[in-house]
Amino acid sequence: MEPILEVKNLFFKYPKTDKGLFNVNMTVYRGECVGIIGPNGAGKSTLLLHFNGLLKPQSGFVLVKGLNTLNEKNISRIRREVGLVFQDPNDQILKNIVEEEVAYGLLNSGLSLDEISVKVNDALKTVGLKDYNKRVTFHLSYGEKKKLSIASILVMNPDILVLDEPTSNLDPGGVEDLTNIIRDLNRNGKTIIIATHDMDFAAELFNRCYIIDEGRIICEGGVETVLTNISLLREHRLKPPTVTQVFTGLPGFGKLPVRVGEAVELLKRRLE
Amino acid sequence: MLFSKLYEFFTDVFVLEESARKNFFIQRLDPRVKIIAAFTGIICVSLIRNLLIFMVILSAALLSAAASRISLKDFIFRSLGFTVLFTTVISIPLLFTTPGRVLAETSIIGLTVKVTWDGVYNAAALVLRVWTALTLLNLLVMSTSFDKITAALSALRAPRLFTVIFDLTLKYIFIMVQEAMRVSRAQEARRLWKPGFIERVKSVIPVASNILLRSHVKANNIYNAMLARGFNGGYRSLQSLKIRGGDLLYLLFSIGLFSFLVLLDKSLTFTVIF
Ligand SMILES: Nc1ncnc2c1ncn2[C@@H]1O[C@H](COP(=O)(O)OP(=O)(O)OP(=O)(O)O)[C@@H](O)[C@H]1O
Ligand SMILES: [Mg+2]
Repeated sequence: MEPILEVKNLFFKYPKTDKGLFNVNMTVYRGECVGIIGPNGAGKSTLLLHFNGLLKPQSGFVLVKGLNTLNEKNISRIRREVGLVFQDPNDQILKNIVEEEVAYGLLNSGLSLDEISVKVNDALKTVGLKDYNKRVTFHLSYGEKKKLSIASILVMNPDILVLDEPTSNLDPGGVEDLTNIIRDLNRNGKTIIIATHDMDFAAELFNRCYIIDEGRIICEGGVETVLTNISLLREHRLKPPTVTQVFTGLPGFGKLPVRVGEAVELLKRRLE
Repeated sequence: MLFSKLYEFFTDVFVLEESARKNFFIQRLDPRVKIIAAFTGIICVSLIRNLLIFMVILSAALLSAAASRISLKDFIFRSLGFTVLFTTVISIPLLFTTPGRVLAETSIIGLTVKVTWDGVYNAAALVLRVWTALTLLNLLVMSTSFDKITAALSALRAPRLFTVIFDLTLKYIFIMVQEAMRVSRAQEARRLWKPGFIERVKSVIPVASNILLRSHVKANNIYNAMLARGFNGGYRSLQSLKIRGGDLLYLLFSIGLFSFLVLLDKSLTFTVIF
């Protein structure tokens, strides 16, 4: 497998604090859907900001398709490869009108206005904001803003999609839609990296995940292994997915499920 | 309330841009043409001294605004408001200090104070000059979204630094007002009585540094978001900038009109001169 994003011995400290990232190592391969899971203040957002060079390692390095983020010459290429959806949509929305917001990145890239208009409508439809084109961005609800911020990154069609807590403030239907959108994108070859502490969402989506706390990678592995390690999760203020918690209380199932589908299968087999 | 009023005003001006999003006479013109016309006008206004000619320009602007369905009440009050703000203090002394034919005379504690006709004329000319210039600027702003203004400035090869500062300053002002409103609302939610105006202002002062800091962090994040989406100092708008026949006509007409008015002003040497 071909590494698409590599983090090597990354060290970063916010000035005048002891917060930051300490010796972080990770590798994401092309076509993966990877989770970065950690409690509040663990350093997830800080880590994601390194992926497109908005923050720079103080030592160590980040490579995107082999390009070092420390090299200023690589930055515009890296920004095109890595689409970053911020945690707070209010930090990301630059324009007053929805369609202008979605078009912003494309306008910078020099496409024709006709092409842009088609892509903008597609992206809005994908996130469920069809016909929102002329709405005022400041007056959208938080969940709508969240969807808008996702659309405005999707529209640029980056190879690597990085999302910071995409499910926070989405209604259950919204979370389900988002799960499906991400799964589709992933199937179509996009590499996806998501920071979250929504464990049910994580279990449904990720192939692999990293647990991060206090700026350090705690462990790495497939979701079936990591998300069933209850004592480790508790130690870091996390919990296993809801179904896993239910099955922890039931004896005799052997392997703990992490996804709802798996749990249903296990129960069916037991009931037959 | 103080801040929500302010917020409302800024939302009107920067976000809704209601009059700029209509599609009538002035709105349809290319923003570059409008910028050039407005600045030609402002330069001419600074050369003109005749009150009547100011009136001619003001009426032309008012007519254009009306033809473009811009709310005349907002149009007049906005420019007038800023005029009063900028000129009252400077123009009042002119009433007394300009020598000439005396209009009125009183003595206060032994001091003779004379108001001259020439003083009145000069003060009026100053107020009208500022008002006319602001009106021309206002016509540009109320008929053009800021998005298009930045795109046009960029297309007119305005120094990149200037365009970036213009764009970010507008964003920053808006963010600051927004943050001030949030803080004021958060305070209000934790207060059990209805505060008066003075109290409201007083209660915000201790958190002013918080507001500034928050705006700063926020502005920084937004700048990051621009970078993350490939901002490279250029500005493009979703509406294409295209100069059509009508735009050229308007440009020639306004430059012609302003030049004519300046020449006319020079040839009219009657009454007092500022
Ligand atoms: N600009 C900054 N200056 C100083 N400290 C900061 C700054 N930004 C974040 N921190 C601190 O760094 C730590 C990591 O923050 P980060 O935002 O990366 O956490 P997170 O894992 O994304 O948390 P959450 O789940 O709450 O989003 C926190 O303790 C935070 O207080
Ligand atoms: Mg975060």
